[in-house]
Amino acid sequence: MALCFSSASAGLLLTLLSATASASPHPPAQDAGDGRSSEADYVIRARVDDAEPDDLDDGVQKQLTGTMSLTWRNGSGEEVSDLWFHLYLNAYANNRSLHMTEAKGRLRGTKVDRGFGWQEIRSLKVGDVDLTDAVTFRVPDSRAPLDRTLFSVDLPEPVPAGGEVTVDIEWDSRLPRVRRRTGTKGDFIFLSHWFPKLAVYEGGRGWRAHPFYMNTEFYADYGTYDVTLDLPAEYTRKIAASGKRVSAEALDDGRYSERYIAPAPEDQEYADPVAAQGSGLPPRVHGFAWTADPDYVVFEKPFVWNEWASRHEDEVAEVAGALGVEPAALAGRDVLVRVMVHPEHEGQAERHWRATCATLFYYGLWYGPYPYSEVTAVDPAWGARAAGGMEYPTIFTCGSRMLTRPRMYTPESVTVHEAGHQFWYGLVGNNEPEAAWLDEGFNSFSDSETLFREYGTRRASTAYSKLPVWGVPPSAAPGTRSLEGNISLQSVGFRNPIRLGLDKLDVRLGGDLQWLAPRQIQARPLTASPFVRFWRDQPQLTFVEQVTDPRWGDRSSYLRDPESDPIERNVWDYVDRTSYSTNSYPHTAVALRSLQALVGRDAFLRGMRKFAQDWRYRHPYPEDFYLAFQEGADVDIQWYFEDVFRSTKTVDWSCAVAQTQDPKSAGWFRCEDGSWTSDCSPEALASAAAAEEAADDEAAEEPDAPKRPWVPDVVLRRRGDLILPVKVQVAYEDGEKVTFEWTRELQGEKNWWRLPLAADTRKVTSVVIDPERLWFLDRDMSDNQWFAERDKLAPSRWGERAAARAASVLQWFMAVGG
Amino acid sequence: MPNYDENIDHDNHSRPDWRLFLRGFKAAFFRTKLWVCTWLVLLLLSLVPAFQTASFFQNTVGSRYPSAELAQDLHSSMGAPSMGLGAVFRQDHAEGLAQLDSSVASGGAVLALIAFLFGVFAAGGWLQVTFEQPERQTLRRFGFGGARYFGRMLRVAILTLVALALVNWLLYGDPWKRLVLGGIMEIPERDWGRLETLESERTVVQLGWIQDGLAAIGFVKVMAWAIYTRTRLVLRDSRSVVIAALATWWTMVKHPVQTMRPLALLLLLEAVFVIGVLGWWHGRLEASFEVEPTYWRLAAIGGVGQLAIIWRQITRGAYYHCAGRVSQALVVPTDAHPDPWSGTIGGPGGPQYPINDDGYHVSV
Repeated sequence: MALCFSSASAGLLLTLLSATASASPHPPAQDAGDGRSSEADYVIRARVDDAEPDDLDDGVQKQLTGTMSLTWRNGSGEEVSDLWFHLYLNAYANNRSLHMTEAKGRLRGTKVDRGFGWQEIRSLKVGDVDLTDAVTFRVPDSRAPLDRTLFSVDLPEPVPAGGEVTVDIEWDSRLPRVRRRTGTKGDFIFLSHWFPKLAVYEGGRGWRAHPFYMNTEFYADYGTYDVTLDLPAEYTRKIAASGKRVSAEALDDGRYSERYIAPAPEDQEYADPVAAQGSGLPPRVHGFAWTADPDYVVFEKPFVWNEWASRHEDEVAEVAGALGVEPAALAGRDVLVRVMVHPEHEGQAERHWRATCATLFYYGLWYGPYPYSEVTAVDPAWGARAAGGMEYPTIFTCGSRMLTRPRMYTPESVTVHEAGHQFWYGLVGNNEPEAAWLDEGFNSFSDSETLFREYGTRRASTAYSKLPVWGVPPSAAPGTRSLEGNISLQSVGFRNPIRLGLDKLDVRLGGDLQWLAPRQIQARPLTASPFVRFWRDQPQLTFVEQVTDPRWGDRSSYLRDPESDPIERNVWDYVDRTSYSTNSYPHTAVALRSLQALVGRDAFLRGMRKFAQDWRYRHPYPEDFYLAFQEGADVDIQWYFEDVFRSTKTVDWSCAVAQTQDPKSAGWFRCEDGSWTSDCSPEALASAAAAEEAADDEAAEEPDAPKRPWVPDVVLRRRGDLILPVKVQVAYEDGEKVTFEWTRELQGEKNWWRLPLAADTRKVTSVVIDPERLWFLDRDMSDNQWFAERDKLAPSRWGERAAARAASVLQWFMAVGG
Repeated sequence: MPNYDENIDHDNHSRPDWRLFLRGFKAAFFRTKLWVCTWLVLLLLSLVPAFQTASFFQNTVGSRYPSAELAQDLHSSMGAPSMGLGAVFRQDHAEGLAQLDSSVASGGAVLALIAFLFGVFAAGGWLQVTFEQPERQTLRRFGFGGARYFGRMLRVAILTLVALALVNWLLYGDPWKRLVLGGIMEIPERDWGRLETLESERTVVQLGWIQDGLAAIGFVKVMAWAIYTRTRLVLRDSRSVVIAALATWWTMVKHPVQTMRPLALLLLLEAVFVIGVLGWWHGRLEASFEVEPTYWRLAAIGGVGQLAIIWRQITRGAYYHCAGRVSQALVVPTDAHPDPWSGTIGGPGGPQYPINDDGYHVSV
């Protein structure tokens, strides 16, 4: 359900109040003329204390008291008479919020039954006018009438187009135990969307203010933040936040204070060369997040553009060539990369740094350099992993665990993805609730490209008591569930005879002792514990290597559900979370990769670059992407966007091949003189001609008998309504390869195509559709090719692996038996 | 032909020295027919999933993939978008592979039970040969021992299963949760699954290692205890498995070094050879196969894998040889023989005809 609220609903009553909203004469900093580039500047003071009583058992819950002054410059081109705010923290207030209702009370695998947090407006003023009582909660979804994540307030006086209004707000928060993105765990604090946050007003569309759905993320105006944090002294120098720390101060009462400005003062003045070529707007951010933990180990190291550029000269040259500029013109600024890491992961700080640098480099190269002077990667505390894997302006959270190795892609994949959001979401600020794929999908595409370039393929591993071993089992071990478990003695279920006896004797066990004699016993005699399982598996002898190119990994995820919904869809309109996570992320990535195949790498780079620079510090929608891309790439492919992004069309090509030899001639054939004789069969005529030729040339060797030609019959088929041009390569036994193109026009006429192949004395050895493997969208590539020579080694190879695996496992079972 | 009495090794009650494990391995190694036989049984069992897997690939691969390519990178994805076709195999055949796995897992459960029962049988066979030390017809004596002691060995196996289930329950069930997590670590019950109330991941990992390490030690101890229990049953020709198990437990408590040393050294030797030497060799072969897949290399890989199984089969025999010698030194002997009829022909209660004579004085 799309929810759009018009400013026309502004309350009449409040307009009668004495107005202090001022019509500013100076133009807003954000004025792109698109009606959706207002600016929101926040000045916030926040103090954090322990909260009592609490219901947590893993640390004391915390409370936050805050004041803020928000100045909103109306860039919508319309008069606006009310303001809409998000109170995101109220999503975690109880199990009846819309967020929790949709999540069925579970966040990231945890049933949330304690540690709730809330947010309450204590005071809201516009100038001297107290509007606290005018705060109206908006509950646009009937499924959650108690949701309190959205409120509006009518202004005493409308804000004219180009004007501004300043709102002063005081609020209190009980910070939730972190279960998703934000909150605390013990002394660990990560707060995102923690203050009353103004929604976005768009000219012609009104307030784009949606309640906090389970799957939606965020949307806010660009602006500046000046935030002062006041915490207990134990957090001294253990805080990180969006923007840059401009001051730190030890306070008298055992407190400690730090002030941050985002973007950093020098960044606000930075002449962003990318924006200069596109949106023309100055660097701003659209959110402010911060973290603190006395346990943090702070790792800082600069990202130096030139070092990375010199290491990847080919990539720089390729991009420069595509964009038609000198390599030096692509240079970005150096950035201080900070990693806030926990002690058990201290050894991974450098890996986070490298992953972040790789992202800054590749994304910066492709989409325009990162314009801010700092970026911070946060490794959440143990027990607070639910805060991980999320992006905020100039700060993001990672996800990791102990005992990982670089090619396992942990933590690299998450770090690259979240760092990548600094570009897609951070710099190009799409409306995430309405078009999440514009950042998630673009970022999924880009992170795979980055990961492959920086780390190569991912190696799969198998963990034994968290100790990783390279490789995976080639086939399954004896089953452990239900009947299989009983037969293999790995999980044997039976009624407890002791309990039966006790029941017969009417002896009742107290509640604390019932575990000693459960009614049903599920014994696991031959379920091997991790170290024993290592001994049973003998991975060094039985496992196989499994490596994955992250770009093809996207396709694997895309195949989960490519048809339920199109890519372009409001987040809450996807049929379920699987469809959302498939179509917003990997489906988009696969669609972009196929788009690259369609227009070519150079044009693709130009199109993406154009979109990135035109919409830097702005709020694009899908149509903006389609237009900017086509303009940048200088192509007209609206059909592709309609078919691939706006419909659920899919494609699956296949080929069927048969080749037969002309039968040997038999019977009577008509000769030139009109007689019917076997001497005029094609073979006889060819032999006679060859003999004649040989007689003319006495030196020639005895002629070979003429070959009977092969008649190949190659039929291509297409299932699905998505029509894409595709190449087909036919190879002959002498090595010659002939390429055909099955055009969109041909495919539009028929779903199949019989290749125009003439009879030939050479045999066809292979037929391959899409030989360069460019169309990642093809749902089944296994039937895209045909080879005359059948593969015999593969079955033997995997049979041997299965035998080795089974022998090792069965040997273990035998050993237990005796 | 040496008889049982000549082979009994506690004539001077001397305890075996630390090199017993080598002698045990040597003794088992020269019982070629036995380990070849047990290995072949395992090989036959393992061919079931092997054929299942091979036929799946035969049907699936067909003419759709270039020769030899899948052998290299069937389980990989693409190295580059324009690379091999086999790279997307896992994606395109995900459903078929899942069905194959499910089928192998189901069949594997039955095979596991068969292997388990074959282990029960083989234990009796090895012990028969260990104590009898026949010079000829070892395979027959092995089979005879396996059949003769099958009932008792099966009861030991059931006791072993109970003991292993107990170990698993203690370490992964309520006792661990209540005593260690709740009692010592003071973790609230609702967090026993995730352990998020602990302050550091390091603590969680270390706790897991302790738990899994104890489980591994428990498993090894139960296995050793089972070996000695079986040995005692045969040595004393007793029938009460429970009494033998309790007595063995007491013996192992009294003589922990004597009982565990040879088995531990054999385990160590197995680890060094199978994991170290054969693992390294296998890795080299795999690497060369990736470069150039040929049938010869494939055969070599398979050979190394089977060599490991053979080594472990020999080690099984060595365990029983060592357990036999240690038990002979530590366990009070009885007059009973493991096979009171081994030197005669004739059923119980009837006339007995010696067969270790020259064979001409008896007409059967």
